Amino acid sequence: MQITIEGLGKTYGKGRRALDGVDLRLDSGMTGLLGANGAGKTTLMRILAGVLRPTAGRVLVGGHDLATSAGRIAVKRMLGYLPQELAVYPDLTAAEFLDYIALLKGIDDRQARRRQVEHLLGQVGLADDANRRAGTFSAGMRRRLGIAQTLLGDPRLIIVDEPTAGLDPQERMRFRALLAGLGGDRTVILSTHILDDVAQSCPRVAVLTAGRLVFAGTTEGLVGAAAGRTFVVDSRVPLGRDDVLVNATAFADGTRVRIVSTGPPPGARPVPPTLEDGYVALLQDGGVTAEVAR
Amino acid sequence: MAGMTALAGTVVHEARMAQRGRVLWLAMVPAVLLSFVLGLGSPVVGGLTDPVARIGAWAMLLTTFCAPALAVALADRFSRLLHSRRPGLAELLESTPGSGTLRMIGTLAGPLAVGLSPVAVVLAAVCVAAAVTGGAAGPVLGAGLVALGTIVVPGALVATTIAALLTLLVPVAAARVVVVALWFWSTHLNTELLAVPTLARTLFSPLGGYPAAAWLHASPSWASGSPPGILSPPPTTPAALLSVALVLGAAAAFVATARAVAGLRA
Repeated sequence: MQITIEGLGKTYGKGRRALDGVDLRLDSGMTGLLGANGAGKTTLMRILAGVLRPTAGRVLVGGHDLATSAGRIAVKRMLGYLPQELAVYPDLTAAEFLDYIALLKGIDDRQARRRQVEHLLGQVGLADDANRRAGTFSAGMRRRLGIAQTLLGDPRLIIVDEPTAGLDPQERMRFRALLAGLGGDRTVILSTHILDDVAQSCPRVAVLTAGRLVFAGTTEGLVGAAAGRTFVVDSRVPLGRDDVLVNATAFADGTRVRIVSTGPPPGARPVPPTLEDGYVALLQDGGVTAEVAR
Repeated sequence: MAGMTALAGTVVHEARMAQRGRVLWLAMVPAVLLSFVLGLGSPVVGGLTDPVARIGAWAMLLTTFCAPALAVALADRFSRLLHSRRPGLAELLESTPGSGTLRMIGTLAGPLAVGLSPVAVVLAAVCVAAAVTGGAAGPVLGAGLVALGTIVVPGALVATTIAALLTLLVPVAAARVVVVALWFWSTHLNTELLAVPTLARTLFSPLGGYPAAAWLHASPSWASGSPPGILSPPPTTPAALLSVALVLGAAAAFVATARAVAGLRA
């Protein structure tokens, strides 16, 4: 399923512009959506989910125009959506919560609903807690319940906003495996701050900065933005103005820092770039300050 | 079909949540108990010898206290669909394909059914007592159903829908105060004590005076004022039907207005 976004803009009250002329085409498969806080990722996700109206531009999802009521309903029928934050009803059990959302999605066959609920609770590791009230769940368990509801009805379009926030490493790996196993002609859009999730799961990536699309392409392409510009250097070496610190690692003989730089300091050792380096390099090229890049 | 599935799901699960929550019972148990105690001790309710009239009087008494109690308990039904205290839930519900209007109706109808269950139990007990103390079971049961369907349910419905609408416009606490004041103004304001316009004893009153007087042998004074006017005609069957239709129509209008307000604020 193809998503076409043309000249998309969203301006909130008091003239705050969250999206500004975004043009993007997404095909089947997984796409990672990256950007700093306030870059417009959540606004874009909410527009694609049909819960927010843009102030400019056009979005076609599988040929359905989100500007029309019929188009929005058609898209919602094939959508699995996980908002950035999702609190669940504390007075419902996990199974009841999923049953409720399944009914809202129009899954009217009771047996089919029960099968899906049991299957998905097993998929996210909550089978033993199916009959526990969600109000007693930890933040990670609530997040997993949120992920389970996203997959109800076998949606062809999956939009997940920060799905792994609050999950422990094991849960994150389980989620990545779950997404990777979906396959088929689904379109999955994954917004996250955790670049490792994108590096492991998404063959394509889009990057937003201050409401504008600054990159759309393959994940390797974004990694390649830092090719020849990624170095490791001793932390005592003074960095140049344009050097962006990516991370620092402590060793027995001192701390070494990883930098993205166009003119590396003396003693810097070139290393193969990662997605994190590519992202930093992209923001560096876009004139973004080192503070934002970090 | 999908819309009906979503509506049924909303009714069932919202009812379940209301039944498990405390707010509904904190409002309803005192209201039902107060009605029960007043009814037992009142000569114009428990003291009536005509079993059908007694059922009508009990229905109006229960509605007097239980409808505003329900309105207070369920006032946040519509506002939580828009800006839930629980982050992301309103957004998730909006991302499902069902109609927002049906979701609103289900969000109100499920908890309303749960909240009215103790009222129905008391009314059923009154019917059983009326049948045991001399009334024929058939007419008594019929009177009970008429009382529930034309007095209790419409009154509770209009009170809760206006409360839920108000919470889209003012804070929930303020809406609760306003709806209680509106309720007693529109049902019991005595114009001999306070000379202000009121809906009490008119076709628009949600207390159910017209169906009670027309079908349940209640005193005509519960329906029309004295002397009768355009808005307070004598309590005939057409007038009672019109009164019930007006009350239900008002509830539908409040839901439609709430949907429009929600659409503007989304």
